[in-house]
Formats: sequence, structure tokens, C-alpha cells
Amino acid sequence: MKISEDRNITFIPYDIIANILRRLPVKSLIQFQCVSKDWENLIKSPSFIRDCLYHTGRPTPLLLLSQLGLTPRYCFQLLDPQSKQVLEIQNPPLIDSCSDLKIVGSCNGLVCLQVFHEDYGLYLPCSSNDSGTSPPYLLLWNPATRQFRKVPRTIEDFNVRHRLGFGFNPIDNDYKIVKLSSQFAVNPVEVYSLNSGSWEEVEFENLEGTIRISSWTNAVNGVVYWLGGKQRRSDDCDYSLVVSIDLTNQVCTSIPLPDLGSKKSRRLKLILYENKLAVLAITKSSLIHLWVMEEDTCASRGRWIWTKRYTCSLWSTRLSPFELNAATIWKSKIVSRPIRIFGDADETKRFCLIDLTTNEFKEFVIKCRRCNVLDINNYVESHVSVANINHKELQI
Amino acid sequence: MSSSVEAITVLSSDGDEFKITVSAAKLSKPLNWMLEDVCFSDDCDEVPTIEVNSKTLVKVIEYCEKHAPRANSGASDSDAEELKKWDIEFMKMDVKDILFHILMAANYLHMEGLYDLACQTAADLMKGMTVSQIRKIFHIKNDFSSEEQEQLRRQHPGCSFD
Repeated sequence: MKISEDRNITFIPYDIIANILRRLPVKSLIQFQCVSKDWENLIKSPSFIRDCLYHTGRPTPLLLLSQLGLTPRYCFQLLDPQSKQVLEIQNPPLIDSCSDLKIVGSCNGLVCLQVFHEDYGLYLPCSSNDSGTSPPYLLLWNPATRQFRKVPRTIEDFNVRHRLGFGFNPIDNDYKIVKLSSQFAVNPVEVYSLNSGSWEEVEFENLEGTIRISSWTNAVNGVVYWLGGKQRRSDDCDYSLVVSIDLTNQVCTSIPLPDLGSKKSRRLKLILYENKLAVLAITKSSLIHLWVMEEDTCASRGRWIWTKRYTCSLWSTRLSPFELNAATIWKSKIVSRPIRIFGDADETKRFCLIDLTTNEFKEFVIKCRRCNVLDINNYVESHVSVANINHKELQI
Repeated sequence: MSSSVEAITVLSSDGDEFKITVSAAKLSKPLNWMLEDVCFSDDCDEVPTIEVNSKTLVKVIEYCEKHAPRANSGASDSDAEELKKWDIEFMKMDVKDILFHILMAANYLHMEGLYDLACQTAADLMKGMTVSQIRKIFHIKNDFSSEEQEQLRRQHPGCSFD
């Protein structure tokens, strides 16, 4: 009886296997690719990778980039604000000797890094003849699978006036890096596609006048955004609009910000809230407003609606509006970069969370390495590959 | 529809008879259809057969009877908490039984809750297993050539084929 039972059912349908596997952590998925070719193909398939991303049980910690006093100068950590657990992650190779490091963006578990080297200043503008050695360069990295890819050189070399953006386009299932000039409409825009593995120059219909673009960027639903403003004098720029580049139809739009009150008395931050673009305005009077942007599908095309979704204050906290260094929103809570209070030890990291819905303020202290937290990004563990479709072998 | 029916009788694939209450049967679409058939026909002598073995059917019915009151009326948070604990106890069985019997039955009987629970439990059990343990459970042969194994190892240095 037992034997016949076992002989009868030894086959489990594909969709059941997929449903079980998408609940596994990336570490197990990488391991179980070795079970058989069928399992490898399933785990690597774009539809399975997508199912994994949308599975609600995926951990969504914060990705911290910190600066250390010595070599290597940078380290990455994952912080779960709920359990307050910190997980050190292995640095991608190539960054240990860098002099400066920036996170361009983090999307579906892929992180785009801009890596600078010591002699950066000496070689400005960079000569484009020797590939690989002249910094800065871009790196695509998946911390969970530890895969990384050095992005090929841009057509026109980087300089300090360039701005970058990184986003995922769900329409063609492609990750893209956008490089444009901070004096937008002066230089062409370059777009790198992970699927094609190359850069492409894109011409945009000139927007009216020159727009100054800040380094604040965010991307969601196939559109990359920057905070921008109409240029007045060289360093006097008030950010009054959002510049967007749609990765599907490569259309550039300038979207005015809502009326945020006096320019002098507030700071702005481009942020994502519930998969929508939002702006945090922090006023001198310790008020924080969250404006969420939505496309008005009823009105004529190109109309955008800003809604003031939440207002909360810092009154019940000991934070001044200048100390609040909002980095991101994690589960309706504003996450501020750690603050220092007199007497705190070097390894004390004092994180602040402000719940937008309840105005509840939470502070927690984490003891970790002597480092300075430079950047906090949202992150989701995934096994999205940094290899493009045309070039299966990774360039290292 | 006759309201006097409180339970229906079904046969397992082994030919054993089982009783399942009307409210519990509502957790499964196919069982619900059977139930309607039984209620509509005046003299139905035929006992429907369910292609699930007796051992598994006992578990499935146990799950249905436990979850039926909540599914039919909704429940408080404390009930939900209690039910969660019960689910954990309920799923304490061999991973093979979950995979080849409970999951297949939940799939066949269209029971979303049990299917989800069984998938999650199986995933939790598989998390710590080695590749060869997985192959043994799923009756899968290693069909990689040594070159292919080498290539996968190059991409993911931590990979092990054992």
C-alpha cells in the first residue's frame, strides 16, 4: 500500500513548486538552482523573479551606506527598523579603494552605485581613451546574490555637473540608468539599458528655458524624477518643479510643484510614498508636509494632481527642523539619518522615525561600527540578475 | 434547497466513508458543488468519491471543521491568533506528507487557505535543506553536466551541488 502510494504521486505540478519556492530567501534560491535544469530555469525566469518581488513576505529592510575612517572607507548594512537588527553585507569588489561612493538608486533589489577614485580631481575632465581606470564609473550590484556588473563608459564622460537616475521599466522589463546635465536642455541625455548592455543618446524636445536639476532623484513605475528649478543666477535656484523622464516613451515632462509656501522657510525632499512620487516639505516652524503626486486620468493629458496627504510636526520631539535629515519613508514612517546627541559614543547610531499617519515619534539606538551613515535607501531582497540578456557571462 | 442536510458523506480514494459538515464543506469549491448536488437531488444514493486518500482526507476535514466557523462568520483578533497557533500544530508533519498529500489535496479541492499554509510550511522546512536532500524529497535527478555545474559555480561561488 505504502509503496504504491509513493509510486503514484512523485510528481508535483510546476505551479505548486513555483508557489513554494517564491517564499524562500534569495540564499536558498541561489542554492536550489543546482537541483536540476528545470529548477534552474524556473528560478531564473523573469516571471518567477517578478512573483518573488511581489510576494508579501519579502523582507524590506533599509540599506545603509556608511563611511568608515579607514580602508575600506565604505560599508553597507541592512537595518530592519522593526527588529532593530543590523546585518553587515559584503561590499562589492572594486569599491574598497574608492575615494567617494554614492548610491544613485535602489530598485527591486538592484543597487546602482557611482564610484569615484582618489585622482578624480586631477583628471577632470576625464580622457576617454583608457577604459576602466578613469573614474568615476557606475556599478550595478545585487547585494543578496552578490552579483555585480561594471556599467560600460558613457558616451560623453562624466563631470560634476552630471546628474544620474536609476529606475525599472515594467513595460519592457528593463533596468535603466539616465545621465543628464544639471543644466538640462543643454546637453543630450544618455540612457543605459541593462537588457541591451549599452548607452544610447536620447534627444528631448527642449523644455522652455534651461532647467537646473538637483541631485535629488527617485524612480517609480518606469519614470525617473529629479527635483528641478528654473535657473536664475548661477547659484540661486529655487526648486519649483519636478522633471520626469518616462522610460517607456522617453518623454520628458516638467511638472510644477504644489504651492508649498515661502521658499526661504522650508526644505524639500523628493521621496516615494506607497509607490507614488511625493515631496516632503520641512518648514522652519517644525511642520512636515507630505504631498503626493498622481496623474489625473480624467483631465487632459499631462495634468498632475498634488495632494497634501499628511502634516505632522516635530513639536513633541527634541529634533529641530534642521536636524531632521529625512532620507526615506519606510512603512509610512519618515526615516531620518542618525542624529548625534552630546555624550553619545562614536558607535551609537540614533535613528529617528516619524509616523506620518499618527505623528508618533520613535527613536532607537543601534550600536554598530564607528561610522558615519551617509545614505539610507529602501531595499528589497531579490535575485534580479545584473547580467543582461545579450551577454550571459558577467563582466568583472 | 432542503435545509435538513447538515452533513454529507463522501468516499476517499481508498473507499472509506467520511462525513463532512455542510459549513466545513463550504471551504472547498468542489465539495460545495457536491453538496449542492446532494441537496438538489431527492433520492441520491450515490456517495461522491474524492480522489484523496483516507489518511489525507482525515486531515483535510479536520482543517475544514476548524476553520469553518471563522470562514463563515468572521472572527476576532484573539480567535485569529488562536487559529494561527492551531495551524502550526496542525502542520507538524513530514515534509513529504505536506508536499505530496496535503498540498495536492488542497490544490485539487481548491482550498486557498490550506494551500497557502502548506506552501509556506513546506518553504520553511526546505529553507535549511541541502540540494541533495531536496532532490531526494522531490525525486529529481541531477541532470547538470560537469561543465554546466562549473559555469553555475562561477556565477555563484557559494553554490553547492551536494
